[in-house]
Formats: sequence, structure tokens, C-alpha cells
Amino acid sequence: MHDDDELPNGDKARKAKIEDASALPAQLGQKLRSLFADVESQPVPDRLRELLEALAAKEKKPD
Amino acid sequence: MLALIPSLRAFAFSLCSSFERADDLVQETLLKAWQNIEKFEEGTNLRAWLFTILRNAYFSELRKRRREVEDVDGKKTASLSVAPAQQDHVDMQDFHEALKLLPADQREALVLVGAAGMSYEEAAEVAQCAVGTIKSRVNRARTKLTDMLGLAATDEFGPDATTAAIVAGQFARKTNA
Repeated sequence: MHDDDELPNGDKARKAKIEDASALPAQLGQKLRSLFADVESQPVPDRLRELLEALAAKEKKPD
Repeated sequence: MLALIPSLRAFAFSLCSSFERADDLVQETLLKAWQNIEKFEEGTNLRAWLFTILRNAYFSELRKRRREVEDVDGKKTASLSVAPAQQDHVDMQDFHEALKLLPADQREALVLVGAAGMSYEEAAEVAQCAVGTIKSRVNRARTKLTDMLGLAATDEFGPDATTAAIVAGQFARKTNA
């Protein structure tokens, strides 16, 4: 394994650039977060809310 | 648990791209979580635990149905309306289509880290794999997305492919020396 400190400065800068190349462009990152946030901001569907209520009620009910 | 349903739905939708299937997955997750609540350790990460149950349900269903469309021949990529050149603006619909074309494990890793805000360690816990595997999947997903959407902005994000290959070769030689 090589140590980055042993690389000439020019190589270090180029390596940093290559690593940057794997970064998601800002607008794609924004789209990804936006897609996720759009769904997250929707109200919880009734069937899921009712399911949780039913499960909670079942737990409270003595056998 | 109720408070976590929105992010569970968002994660499920990111995986399967259908609200109906996403809600089915969340429903299955809640039922399994409730049935196995004694296995959850108080004070640990409930969100990660629920995400793990959900992703296991999704991948289990995926194996059964074999419905996943992976773009092995590139036909779907070619049908994307974004031109294979640098774009200033990527349409949300095109972005979503491209996201759907990623292999499921890469899409999962990208969504957990890039959208759900999880650390690599947390995402690895959810996906039940090594941290290095998550990092690698995220990187491959990023590369594929940028390629599919014609966003390989060499000026902004680094050297062109030839330069990168030459420099990478130099590093490989240094490593092997």
C-alpha cells in the first residue's frame, strides 16, 4: 500500500480530482433528496394508520 | 412507530417505484416488527431496524417475482429523454427513470446514504453488508446515474476518462512498486 504523503503534490491533486469525479453532481443529489422528501411529506395512508391502531389495541386487550 | 412511517414509505417507494407496493411493504414491515418486537433492543436504532425489515421484505419479494428490470442491454437507458450530453437541468421524471434502472442493491445504498441521510455505517447495518461494500455500491450508483443522465461533467468533477486512466495507472504502479 502506498502512503498519500509520499506522492508528489501534483499527483495528490490529481488523485483528489479523481475522487471528486465519483461525487454525485449537486443537482442529482438534490433530485434524490427531493424525491425522498416528497414522499416523506405525504400524509400517512389510512390503512397504515389503522393497522398500527389495530396492533396497539390488540396488545392492550387481555388474552 | 407511527412517526417513522413517512420515511419508511419514502424508502420503500425509492426501492420499488410504486406507491401501492410501497404501502404493502410498509404494512408487511409493521406487522413483522410488531410480531418480533421482543427482538428489538431498547435504546438501539429503531429506524435502522425497521428499514432492515423493509429491505429484507423487498429483496425477498424481488427474488420471488423476478420483476426487477435491470438495464442489461442499455435499451432503457437509450430511451431516456435526456440527451447524452451535459445538461443544465435534469427533469425529475428522467431522474426517477434513471434511478429505477440502477441495480436494486446500488439504488438502495444510494437512497440510504444520499436521501435518507444515513451514515455509511448505518446504511451497512440496514443492508447487512460491510461498510466498504456500501461505499462501493454508492460510488457505482453515482457513476451510473451520471452516465445515464449525461452528466459526466469532466470540467467540474475531474479529469476526462483518458487522463483519469493514465493517473490511475500511475498510482497502480506506485502501489505495486
